[in-house]
Amino acid sequence: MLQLNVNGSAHAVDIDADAPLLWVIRELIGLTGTKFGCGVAACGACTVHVDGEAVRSCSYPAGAAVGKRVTTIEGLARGGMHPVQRAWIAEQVPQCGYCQSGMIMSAAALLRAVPRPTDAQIDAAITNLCRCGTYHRIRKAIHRAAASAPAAAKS
Amino acid sequence: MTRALALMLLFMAAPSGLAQNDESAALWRKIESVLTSPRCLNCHTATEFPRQGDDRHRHLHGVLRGRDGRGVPGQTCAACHPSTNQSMSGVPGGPSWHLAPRSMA
Repeated sequence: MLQLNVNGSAHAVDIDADAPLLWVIRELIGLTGTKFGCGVAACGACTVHVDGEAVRSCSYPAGAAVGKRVTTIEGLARGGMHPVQRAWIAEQVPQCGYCQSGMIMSAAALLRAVPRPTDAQIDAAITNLCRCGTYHRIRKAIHRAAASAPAAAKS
Repeated sequence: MTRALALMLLFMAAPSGLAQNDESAALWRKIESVLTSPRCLNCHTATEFPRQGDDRHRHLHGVLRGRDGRGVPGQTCAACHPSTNQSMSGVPGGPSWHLAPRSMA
């Protein structure tokens, strides 16, 4: 039995410590905003935060999250909308939308570490894949979020 | 005369010296095979990025060294490489996954 803190709530889950965190989040806790994409940590659709750092949950053992804070897309804003989410809407970033929760989590982690990123820093940090090719809007939205809410770095 | 003597001594010493060189070379080849293993060089690299695989291709996804060898903010090595190998995804892991400093390339 693993004791996990996901979005501020305690969860006791009966699963091997080696099981991917993504499975726990989606199948046991029922938070399906985080997506399964490639399963080999290559695409970033499954990105969540563990103690504020972006990790690819398909390749992160659930046991390693014990004693840490896991944040999924559902818990990013804690009741409202995160500045990154507002910027995503303003720039109409998503097309099919499948990769976007991972994109938003990656962008939020970047802005926490680098509140005003350059294009080069965005390119280096956001390596998630979007098969609709929304990258140009993603970059614009990150700049918008950075400009509109420096506080994004603290959330 | 002195020069001829020196040449003669060198000639006499040569066979054992060559044997020693052969042994040294053989030992070195063993060491070299370790030092040049892709498993070492992929992260013991002087480049701004790690490499992957036995063919030492550039790490996919534009992964970068970053200031401290642990990737860049938002895209750290540990984002994909947790503390242990991952049997489900096949992604290798280890505690504190990072590139060796350039001084150890």
